[in-house]
Amino acid sequence: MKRARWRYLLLKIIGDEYSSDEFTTALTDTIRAYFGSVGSIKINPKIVRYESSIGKAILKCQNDSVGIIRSAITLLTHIGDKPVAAFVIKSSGTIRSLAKIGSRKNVEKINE
Amino acid sequence: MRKFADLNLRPPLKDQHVQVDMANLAFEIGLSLIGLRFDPRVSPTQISSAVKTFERVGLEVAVGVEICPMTRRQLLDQLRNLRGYIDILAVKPTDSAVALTAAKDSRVDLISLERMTPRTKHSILRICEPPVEIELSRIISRSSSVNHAYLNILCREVELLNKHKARVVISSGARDVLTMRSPRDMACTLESLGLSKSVSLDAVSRIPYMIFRRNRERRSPRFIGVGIKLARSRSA
Repeated sequence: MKRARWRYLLLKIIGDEYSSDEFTTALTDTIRAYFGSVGSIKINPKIVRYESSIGKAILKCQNDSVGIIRSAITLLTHIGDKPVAAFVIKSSGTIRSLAKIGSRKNVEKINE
Repeated sequence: MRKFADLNLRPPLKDQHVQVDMANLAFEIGLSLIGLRFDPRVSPTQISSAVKTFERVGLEVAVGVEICPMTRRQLLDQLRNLRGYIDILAVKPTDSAVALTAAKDSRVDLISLERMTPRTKHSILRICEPPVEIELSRIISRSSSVNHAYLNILCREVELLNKHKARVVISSGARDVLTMRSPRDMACTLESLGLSKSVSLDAVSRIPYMIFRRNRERRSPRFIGVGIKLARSRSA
């Protein structure tokens, strides 16, 4: 059996502070609404790291479903009743490189 | 490496903070060219102040105007008056006769088919010269969730664009940070609607840059005609 290959996406989330679960539920609902339940099960996105205070998250998904995740992120406009916007800042095959970028940007932000 | 562009940002002219936030976010999400879209009646002072805000973070800025002419005469007058002063001229026709004229005019940079019926879209795309603009704000807005009716119309429009092999530009049409989107994410949305990967990526990179460079070249004092440039003047 072929081993599943993963892709990690560094996300920036703008809006109020949300918990990791709230964000995952909203994203899964968006995927289900536009790509169906089967699509949502196949993609199976998981939030690996989440920093609600700075609005950054690392999301793990199957390598061949990055396109669908990106479009779902584009179409995600609300969490509950509150408006939100999410952006993919960087995509990588390893979590380490994304964590580095995330932390470097945090340091830059603190220095500002 | 690809450079990305969003040719349709509409920052609020009176709110400097929102402009700064939009500029910083645009830089962070990987945009290198921004098209600021204004109403033709906006004063040049307000435009230059917004342009400076975006240039300060290291972005290339194209000034654009969107016109919605009601008649063919109006379209031609507006094209004649505005063409020499701006980088991007987008037309949002309200009438099929206006749309057909705009589709054949080389002064038009982008044409939107938002208000056209499927049959008119078909006849426009057969003769269309300028790239067709798809505005993401048609389907996403801050006040409501994604508009399914528009999404359906957009799917059919993409089918027609594929059929006619038309050039496409996708832009956000953002008025604040919440309606901005990353260029690769916008390209993936187009891809999921049915366009090929290369066409989708070109819609946020190659085609917007091509329009911008062509118009900058045309506005330079050395430009004489298409393919003709002043190399050295007598006084130099």
